[in-house]
Amino acid sequence: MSDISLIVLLPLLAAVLTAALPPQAAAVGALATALNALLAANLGRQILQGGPVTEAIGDWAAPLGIAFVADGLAGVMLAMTAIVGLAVSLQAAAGPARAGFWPLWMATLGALNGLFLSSDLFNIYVAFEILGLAAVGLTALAGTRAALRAAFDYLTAGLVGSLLVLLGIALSYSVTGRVDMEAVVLLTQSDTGRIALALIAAGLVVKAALFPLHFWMPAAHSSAAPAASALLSALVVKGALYLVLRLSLEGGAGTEFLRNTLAVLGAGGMLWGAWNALRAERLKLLVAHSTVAQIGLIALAIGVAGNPFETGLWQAAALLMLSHALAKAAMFLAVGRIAEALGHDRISGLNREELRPGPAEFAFAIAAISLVGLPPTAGFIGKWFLIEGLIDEGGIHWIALILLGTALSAAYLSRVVSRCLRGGPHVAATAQRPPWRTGDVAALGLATGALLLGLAAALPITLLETPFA
Amino acid sequence: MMVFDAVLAAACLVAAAMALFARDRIAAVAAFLVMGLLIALAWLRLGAPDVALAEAAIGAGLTGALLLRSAHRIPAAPTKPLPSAQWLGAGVLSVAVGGAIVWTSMSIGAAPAYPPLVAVAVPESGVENPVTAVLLNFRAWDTLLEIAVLFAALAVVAVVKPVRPRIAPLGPLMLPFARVVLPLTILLAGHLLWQGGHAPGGAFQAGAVLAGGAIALGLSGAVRPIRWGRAGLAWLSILGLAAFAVAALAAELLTGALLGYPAGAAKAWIIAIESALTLSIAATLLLLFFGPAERH
Repeated sequence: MSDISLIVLLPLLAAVLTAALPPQAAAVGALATALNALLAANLGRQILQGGPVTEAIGDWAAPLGIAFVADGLAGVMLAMTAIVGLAVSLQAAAGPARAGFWPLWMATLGALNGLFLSSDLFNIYVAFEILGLAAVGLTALAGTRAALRAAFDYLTAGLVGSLLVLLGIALSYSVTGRVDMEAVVLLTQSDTGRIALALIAAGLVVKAALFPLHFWMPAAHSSAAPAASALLSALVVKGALYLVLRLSLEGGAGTEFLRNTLAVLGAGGMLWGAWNALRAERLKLLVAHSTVAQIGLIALAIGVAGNPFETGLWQAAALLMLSHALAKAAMFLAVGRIAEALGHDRISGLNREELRPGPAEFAFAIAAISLVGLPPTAGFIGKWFLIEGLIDEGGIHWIALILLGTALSAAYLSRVVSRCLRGGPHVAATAQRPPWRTGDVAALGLATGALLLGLAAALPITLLETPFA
Repeated sequence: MMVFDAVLAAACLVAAAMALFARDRIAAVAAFLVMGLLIALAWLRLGAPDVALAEAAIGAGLTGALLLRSAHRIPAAPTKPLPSAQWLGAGVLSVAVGGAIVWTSMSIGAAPAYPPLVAVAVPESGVENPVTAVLLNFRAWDTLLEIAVLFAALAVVAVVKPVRPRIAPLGPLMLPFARVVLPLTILLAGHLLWQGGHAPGGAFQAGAVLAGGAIALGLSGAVRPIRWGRAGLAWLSILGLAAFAVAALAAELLTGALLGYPAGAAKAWIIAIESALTLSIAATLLLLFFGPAERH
């Protein structure tokens, strides 16, 4: 059996098993995540060695059948999902058991893998349906009234997004007569085709929580359980961002109108998210608003990248997606742990006399450094790549905006870091460190990963540079 | 037929407007049900009997039952009218999107690439019904993921733990009705399943019909399918995804292609997968209706 077949079906089988055997769910889920990571690594190795790997399902050639294509971008996305998944699974398996977490997470994993590998628009839509529903369940998992309300709003927003995507795909079928990825470039050649593309993109903007259609997201990401928040913020929104990037790549010069819009929306999101993060009173809400800002930055990176057939600037967007996934998952896991130790997550209450900073605070600080984009983190490499490319193309105003967003992110994250890590005379001499937990390993591991990825950035960049199929 | 089509289209719109604007929840759901049946009729007129069957069974029938089940728990629509700015905004947006759709679908696009490809490949697919050939062979991966969507929906409902419907006695005619209807739905489901190979039908329609019969039985109060069969239903509900995924990988072991059925045996594989899906879809819909777990 091929690696591609296994990586899309293994999580779905694990979802069934974890649903059927709740007592063994954590063991089955953790095992499946580990196998998934091995498969992703092996697939990445194959792409590095021999270029993109393709597979025609049922031996039916596209467009009649559906093809899987594992190219460099898909490989990076699969690796991102696998790494974040490993850490989240570790935290969830070590933490208190929550009925229902594992089937939903395994379905999310299967949907993401299928989404990244599929080269068929309608098939990708179906994968989005699994992803959207499972994400609603992950939001509701906390069981609180706020979580249920946020989950319902998420469901409504997600359905609107799905309807727009489906409408766009239906129209693109009526314009081009096909629904595989080849349709995208045909769509850019007519006005009606561009309307279909715009509808798909609008639906994806809702699903990715890109400003100004992000209204449903801060509540959902901040009221979910820590492991669920990490998955939602690090991975689920990336599904939609990935497809936006893929459409931009497939359309080439013809999708410039989409990129222009994305750049403007992205800049707006970067500033609006940062402004709200500066004003947030609760830690989880601050992290959720920072996701709005970071999604804005990624959308801006996709938007200013120009024609992907001429420049490799789009790779900066993929690197930023990767580094944001690692850092943001680490941050949500750390915040969960901090809130657990304190009993609340008010930012004003992070100054404490009786508790010394522990591994969770440390993990938060490293993740913050990567999100701001200080060297040598992965966030730095992404921003460096982007700004370097923009200097070559003379996009000085975009650079100014990115630097402003960076300064704002440093400001709102230091609200937390300065309080968390403060030592000195106001800490009582008898103050204790919080005890180590297995969950701390997950947060710290991801944060260190974001740090080290900056040093090992050659690997994802080489993957991204493999020519397309 | 032109007049019939025009009346049908107008009736769809009227039913939709009634569903949207009815103050009473039950009346709104009733209008939605009528709209579903009219749309099923429209699909028939468009030459898509498979979609018509699915729309009638799932879109109108089971969705309607689910909506009715929840309708009495939701308060009546607020009497306060929306602010006019909101009306205007929604109106402009709807007209813009609607206009774009009408314009795009009116303009002539490329000829669909699929009908000639399907026509050539159907003889190799193992079934004669082109719709089944697409759903269970050429694009079986779509269908597998759709089964995963149903799985995810049930997992979400299990997390949310909705309150169970209280089954009130439905009057003396309910039990005789169920006695007639239930065997009929089982026969009909089997017929639809088998017929899917060469004529409109298939697992989704068969599963929905089966679930409808079981819901009628449950509502009659004659048996409590949920009390004795919850564990069995839960296993059945995940059987579909498990069987489909295992079959996909097993086919790859035999032929080297994911979901590539062995030559000559495609029909047996398709019917076997569809049988598992029918039971699984019925169990999933039943659990969605009656609630998969007790609320604590």
